[in-house]
Amino acid sequence: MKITIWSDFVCPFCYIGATHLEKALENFEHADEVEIEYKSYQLEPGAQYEPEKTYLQAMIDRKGASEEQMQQMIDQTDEMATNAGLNYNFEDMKLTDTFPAHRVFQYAKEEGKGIEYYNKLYEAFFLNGELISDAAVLKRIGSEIGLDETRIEEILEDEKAYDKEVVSDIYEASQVGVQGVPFFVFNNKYGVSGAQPIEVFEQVLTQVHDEFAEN
Amino acid sequence: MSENKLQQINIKQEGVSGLEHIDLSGGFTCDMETGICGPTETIQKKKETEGDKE
Repeated sequence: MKITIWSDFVCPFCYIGATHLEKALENFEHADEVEIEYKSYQLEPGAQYEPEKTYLQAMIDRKGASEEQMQQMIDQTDEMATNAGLNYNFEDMKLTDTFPAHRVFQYAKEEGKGIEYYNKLYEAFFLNGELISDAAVLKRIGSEIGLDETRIEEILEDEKAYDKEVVSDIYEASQVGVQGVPFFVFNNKYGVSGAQPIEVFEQVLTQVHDEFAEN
Repeated sequence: MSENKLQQINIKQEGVSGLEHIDLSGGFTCDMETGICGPTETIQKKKETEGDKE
């Protein structure tokens, strides 16, 4: 079974959704037959890190929402993250442009490390408050999962490196009709929008597996 | 993905789910257009309401 996931490293429900899916897979007897492929998406294109602003303030400014509305969104997300076993660190989160990180992701994917890279970037942004547009951070993370630091440096210095792959993923999302992330596609057929509860992912996995096993 | 398969995904997006008896309404998502995050249904309804106003 193939699961394709459109996501962004700074998308709060993407990490939660991926964690729920992972937990559902732990209980799925055919988990060894599942192949996961991540695809790039940019939720906050053009976002620039502004050190003087907290994550809350940066989001208020970008979305034009009130502090109350944004705090409510953060509280709701925080509660879901906690329930998923993730300790989101909103105090230290650094909203930034993810395009360079996605270009490096495409290299990681080519090397068969796409999932590890995604998980590391989620941790860096949501749990550790790291600046994921920073070359040193991306090189360190790449190195931790066995990627070539020199190659990452070359990619980051060449703005065109892997840019077509990122743009292509985003374009494909628009063609498929994806309206929000995370977005999961099972066996290139069934689209599931959003971070679903673990039991829903369990049901989807079972139903999709059974349907394809019959055919 | 072939064009045919993409069409099928679009059908699911419009709510004619082929995933029978599975309630997918409880998802939480971040809207690609606005970047606002929350319950998928609430965000979609809000967008529809705002679209109607325009």
